Amino acid sequence: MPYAQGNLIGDRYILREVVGQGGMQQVWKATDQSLDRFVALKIPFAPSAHKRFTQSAQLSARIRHANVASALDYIANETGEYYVEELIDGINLQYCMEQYFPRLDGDTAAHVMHHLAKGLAASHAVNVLHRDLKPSNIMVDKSLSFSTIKITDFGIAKLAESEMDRGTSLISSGITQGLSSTMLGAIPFLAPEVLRKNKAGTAPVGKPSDVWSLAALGYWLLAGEPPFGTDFDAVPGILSATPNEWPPGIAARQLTASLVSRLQEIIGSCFKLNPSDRPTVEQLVSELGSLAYLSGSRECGTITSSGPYGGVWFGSSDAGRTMMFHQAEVMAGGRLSIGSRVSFVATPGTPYRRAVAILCLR
Amino acid sequence: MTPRPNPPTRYLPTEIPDSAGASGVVEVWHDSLLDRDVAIKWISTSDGEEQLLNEWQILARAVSRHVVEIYDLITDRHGAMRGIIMEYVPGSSLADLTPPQNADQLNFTLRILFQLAAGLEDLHSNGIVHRDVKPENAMVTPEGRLKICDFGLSTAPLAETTRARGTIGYLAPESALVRPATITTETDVYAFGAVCWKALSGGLPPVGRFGLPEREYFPLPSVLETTSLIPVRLGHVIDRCLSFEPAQRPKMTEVRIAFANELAAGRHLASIAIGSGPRDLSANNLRRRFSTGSHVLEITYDNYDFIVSDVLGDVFINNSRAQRSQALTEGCIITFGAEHPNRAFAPFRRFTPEVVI
Repeated sequence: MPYAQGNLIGDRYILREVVGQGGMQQVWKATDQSLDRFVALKIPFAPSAHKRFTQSAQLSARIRHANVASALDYIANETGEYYVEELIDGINLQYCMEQYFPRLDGDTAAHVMHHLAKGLAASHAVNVLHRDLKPSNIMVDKSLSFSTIKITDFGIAKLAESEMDRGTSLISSGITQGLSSTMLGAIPFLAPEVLRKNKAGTAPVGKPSDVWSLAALGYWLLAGEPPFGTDFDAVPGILSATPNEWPPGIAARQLTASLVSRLQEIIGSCFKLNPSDRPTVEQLVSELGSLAYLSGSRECGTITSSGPYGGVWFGSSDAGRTMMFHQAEVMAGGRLSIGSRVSFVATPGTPYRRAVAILCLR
Repeated sequence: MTPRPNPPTRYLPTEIPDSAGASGVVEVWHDSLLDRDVAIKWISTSDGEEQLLNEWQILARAVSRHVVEIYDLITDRHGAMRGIIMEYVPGSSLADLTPPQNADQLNFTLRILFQLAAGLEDLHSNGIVHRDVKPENAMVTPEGRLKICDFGLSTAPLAETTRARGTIGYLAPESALVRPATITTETDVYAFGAVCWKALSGGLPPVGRFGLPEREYFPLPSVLETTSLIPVRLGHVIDRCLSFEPAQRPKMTEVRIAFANELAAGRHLASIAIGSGPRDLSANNLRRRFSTGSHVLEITYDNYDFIVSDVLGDVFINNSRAQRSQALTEGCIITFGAEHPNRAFAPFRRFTPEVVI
């Protein structure tokens, strides 16, 4: 049944607009009339998946953590099934990186990974696997401050299991035709045992599979490209657990050199063919928790004029405050110039606040 | 009032015992659709209905990882609100926490209080004063996650009230002594300070004969006198929360940062890009001298901040002349030499382990 704006669901929720569309479900922004607030309402495409949809809703409801979207309600009636979740007024990480960031600096990558690892640890603690951790399943705030980081769609991969299984069996037989774009996009973040599922000698899919995916995400944030290549090209590297060399220059001579090399070690330790050789997510949390990094909220702004010396620039934050920028603080992206859009962390300074950890936006 | 309605049929009774609140009872039910336990808060008095109405409006707009979630309302057949269905937080409240006896227990308690500070900071920035901050209203899960609950008295700041609200022992002097009282975020800051006393020492600050704050008891003795475990810097911040004058109390943001810094004590890192590459300072490398020509800057780490411990010649930090005992900010530029172009620039950065709960 097609849904339209204004439809009333379960005598409580009014559909407003489609805010997301995955392989398995449509996500609507809806008004919760009882509590007078907006929520995210998820509608599965396949009505036959009834049991799995209920199951995935219940799995999500078991996890309660600030870095995981909260389950609010579940409705099953004669018109269909609906899962209601906290609405995150944000964008997914895939879109965030494609639209704005060529890559993240060590500080922000460490911050994002730390929060994701915490959310994943909360789900593993109640024995819930994500199974499909990838950039499009992570929400961040629209202001690009990275103060909101939430994992969504826990258990959705269980819902999509038959499609996934068909996809992975095609992939491991070397067939690329007939793969959905959702499947193709997921490949670079899948663990080898997920790709080779149901093949003789393959380890079962479990918590370590999520750990691998989290590490692949961390690599992608820091390097600006996935660790084993894109789409189908990633398969050989994943199956042999040999990530690509890190792109040159990520940490060269920068203040964050030691942080970046620690992050690279942590990420690298997860790419082990044998799942039991990987760290647990709890171990990742404690490694990431021991790192010191700049975790202040990021702001965005624009360079408006050049300063008195080479490398010095002035600009304005989107909140309207004058800022001082220095080329030496640029962690990723090219050279500053008038009109450049930048993301940064503001620190005190006179007469203007100083921007540090500058990232040039696309 | 009409008899209490039943919750919708999706909710099934559980064996978990009820708990009594100020305005009603809290029961634990099982949501059979989402297969999880929820808390249902019922009200029994008409005064309670007003509080419940207030509570759901606050809960539905409070954006904080440290506030309980609300799922639904229960109304009776006349349309009167009778209950709130919300997140069930298993575990106990901050009131059940025993005062720390060693460094590990202290760390656990500080992580709990950090979350309470962060939650109150979120509420204040959303324009909400809790008005009844006390250990019983902060639930703590076995994993050590804190959720603030009971928003029955909460309101926007600057409202005037003639009724003393809050709980004895946590009541700020201005709420107890002045009529009519103006509700401000500072009353929450005071209560937070009293909660810290309770959680860290087991007792409440000695404010007056009946637990009602009296002018002559202020300034209160320092929380540092109750136990030698409390870090001195943090103790001073807690003491300031309990200032008699609201204006002298810190904002919750400052309090939250003080707790975060304490949880990161000794684990900060600083880096200076000078010469052939970055030079680090940390607990393993407490002091370093940097120089170009006759211009010298010495920096020392004191477990919290990176402090200028010596200066010779012309050294500037962010355009101002470097001063002894000045703390370097998170990201600054150090300049050696006064005359352009004979100057050398060195960016400085301070890194802190992030507290993620």
